Amino acid sequence: MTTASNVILILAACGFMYRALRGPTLADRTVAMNGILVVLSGVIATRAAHLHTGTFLATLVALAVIGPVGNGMIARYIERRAQ
Amino acid sequence: MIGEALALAGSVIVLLAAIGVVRFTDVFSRMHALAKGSTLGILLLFAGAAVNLGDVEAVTTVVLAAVLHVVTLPPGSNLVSRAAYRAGVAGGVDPDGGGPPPSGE
Repeated sequence: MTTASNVILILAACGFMYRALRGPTLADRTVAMNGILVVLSGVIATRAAHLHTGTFLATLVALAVIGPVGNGMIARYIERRAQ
Repeated sequence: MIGEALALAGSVIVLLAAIGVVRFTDVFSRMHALAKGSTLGILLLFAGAAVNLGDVEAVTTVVLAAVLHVVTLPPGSNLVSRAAYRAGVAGGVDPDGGGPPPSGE
């Protein structure tokens, strides 16, 4: 069952990667990168639960903190570039 | 078993968000699909991991990560969508060329 959810998450990552490579605007690529971050967190959580070890779980907190910082920087860049 | 079922449900919801991101036509619809879908999906995935792990330390770390995701993911999408709207990269959402709102706020 863990394998099934990992396969589904990897399919979702393929969709996000398609949008990140194809996306017409920078905002689309940012959305896709957010999705890839979510998939990464999900894979880490499922693998940690599968292996019964909490070693990798601090990575989830770090990802949850640094992801929106990059979001805000790209948002500022989009806004500044348009002026 | 319950934890794995929760993780499977969460990954299905993340896959639905990915399908929305691939199939929708403009950046605001894509952001709409991603923000809601991935928040619910990541909560279900973390709940599954917490149920499976059971250890107090691991559960508190997972709960902290879940709270941080819920607090930071929708405002991040809001930031990017507001910047895209002001920059006028609506991508066909406004064919009349309405453009960004007056920036006097």
